[in-house]
Amino acid sequence: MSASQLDRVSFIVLRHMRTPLIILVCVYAICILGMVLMPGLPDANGNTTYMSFFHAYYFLAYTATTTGFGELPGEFSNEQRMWAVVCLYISVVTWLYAVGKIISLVKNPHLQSAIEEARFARAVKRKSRDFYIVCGFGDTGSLLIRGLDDAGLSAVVLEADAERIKALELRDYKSKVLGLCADATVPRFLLDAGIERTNCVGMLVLTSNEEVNLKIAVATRLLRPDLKIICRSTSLVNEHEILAIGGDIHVVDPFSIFASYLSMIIYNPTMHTLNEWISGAVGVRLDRNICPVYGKWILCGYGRMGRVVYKKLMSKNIDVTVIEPSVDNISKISEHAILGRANTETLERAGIDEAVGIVAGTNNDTFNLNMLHTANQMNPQLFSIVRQNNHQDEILFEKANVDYIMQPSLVIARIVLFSITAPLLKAFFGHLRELFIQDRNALADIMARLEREVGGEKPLIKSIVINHSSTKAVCQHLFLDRDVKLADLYRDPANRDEFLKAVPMVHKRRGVLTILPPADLKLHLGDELLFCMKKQDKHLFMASLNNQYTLEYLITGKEPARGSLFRWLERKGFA
Amino acid sequence: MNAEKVIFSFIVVLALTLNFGFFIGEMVDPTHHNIYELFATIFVNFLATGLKLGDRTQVGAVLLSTSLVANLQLIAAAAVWGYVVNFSGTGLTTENMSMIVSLAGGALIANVISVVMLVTETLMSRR
Repeated sequence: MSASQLDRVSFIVLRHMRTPLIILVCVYAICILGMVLMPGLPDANGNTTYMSFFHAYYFLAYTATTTGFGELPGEFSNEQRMWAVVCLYISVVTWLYAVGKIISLVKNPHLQSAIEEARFARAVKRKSRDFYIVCGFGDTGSLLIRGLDDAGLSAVVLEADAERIKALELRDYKSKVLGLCADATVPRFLLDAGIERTNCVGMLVLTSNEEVNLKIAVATRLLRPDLKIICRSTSLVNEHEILAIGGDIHVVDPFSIFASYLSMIIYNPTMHTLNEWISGAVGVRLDRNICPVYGKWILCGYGRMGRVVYKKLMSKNIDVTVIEPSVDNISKISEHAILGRANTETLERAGIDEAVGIVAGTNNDTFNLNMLHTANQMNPQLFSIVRQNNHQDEILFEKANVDYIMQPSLVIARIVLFSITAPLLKAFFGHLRELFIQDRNALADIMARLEREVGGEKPLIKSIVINHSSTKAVCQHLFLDRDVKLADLYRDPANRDEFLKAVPMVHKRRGVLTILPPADLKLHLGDELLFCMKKQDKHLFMASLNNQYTLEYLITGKEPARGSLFRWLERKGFA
Repeated sequence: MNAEKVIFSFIVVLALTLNFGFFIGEMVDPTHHNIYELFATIFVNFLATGLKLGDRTQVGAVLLSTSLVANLQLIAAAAVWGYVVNFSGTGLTTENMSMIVSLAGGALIANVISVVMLVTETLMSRR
């Protein structure tokens, strides 16, 4: 807790408790003094006795709090009894007043938020693992945190909506995700979230407000010039401003990313399947044969996202007809557009009978579901793609007869997650995109290899760096000037002639990237590698990289001696 | 098959079996607990500790520590035996015997852990 926060809490408490405390002190003083001065019963010699201060305080302590033990330490005189009545009334009333004040103080929202903040800041300070700060816990934020948690990464959340923070507290994450209900544009909260700590490794700005995102990004850059920032932005103007901040900064534009995904389904389904497979979508396998759906497409909705989709599809020479209710939006593309809401009449005019597919891409889930229903009745052969805006509508979309559901929040969350956990993946996809244009057979070969050597559903994407903390055994071998070839890393520890279900996708050495590196590549210290592997094989793989005996077996095929005695014997040539 | 594995496992398992042999029997009855068996147990346990030295893996470290625990307990048992017979002169009374056997029982647990880890690691490597 920083000094200022502690001050704030103690300040609020003291200011509220000042009056009741002063009154309580005065009342106690008067009552105790009166009790001491009142003459008590005479003792054995006939002298009047008086109560000591200690006994008077003791009497008042149980009287004022309405405990009432009776006349202690001895029987009272009538004078003392009279004063006791006075004490009882004034002290009990004062106590009730003070207790009421305490209760109202505890309920004070300012104090509660100050305590929450202090508790959050303290918990962040205690974090020993590397963590990311996530601003905004909406659909994207919550999907992303789920992904980070699954990948074993830690995060703290700043979110302005108190309801969302309550939702965060109820999630069943493997490790606790700290959250604070706060406006992240206030720099103090960024400090609370640990932005200046060395184990804060990134800032993910994902709120739906452009201004807010920009402000957070600027504040972050000023507080930590070296920190990685990933920022959501939907407007080009904003994007330029954010990029101008400089440093390690990345902008994700949900509309353009979503539009490229969408157009990829239409003109390059192979690549799209690969993308889905790597992302671990349910039921996606590589061994299915997918053909692109060429022909006429209908695009419903020409808003911010529709515009990007339209441009992408047009650039790929796909015939698109737009249906859009707003005149202003379609004034520039009037020859390819039909004015109005998507209904039987407008769909007819858009040529639904000869169309091959429909994209329901408005930002309203009800409209999207409704227009798909209408379109499916008119032309049941249509390939339908629908945009699901709200994560909670999942049940309805699953019931609808749709070929493909796309969730922008899911797409963004995946992009951000991969840019954190597997930054080399971007290069791999860039390579595949080039192959798609130049040499489709090579692309098919890569797909076949991934299916043959990994296969199944939900592969694991694993980034490793050859260094002491993550691949100890490999480093030890390199230090002894022994060669470690890439293929040795993923041999099967049960039988070195077999391989684990893994494919090395990208290799990076001093900034030079190699896509699908050759198996006999000799590894150096500091090399970065990206593997695609079966989830079940991860533990065996990581064990081989960290156990020098297993690794030596994988490299040489011989089981090395473990104990000092046998190593000595081995050197002498006995064993 | 690998000579180190054979010898290593042999010694580790023998340490356990000898230890068990000494431990079993009526706890307070000196005729059930043979001193030569205790001697053999201590010797084989020391041998096992020696073989475990030098393994740089985590499993190796835990194996070594279980052996050290067993050694400590067995030495304590032997020390008690020597003291009551040669120095205090009380001889192998029921109290003394139960102390010796319970110390050997502790060593037995450490040896069991050691063997369980050995078996587990062998199964895990699947070779």
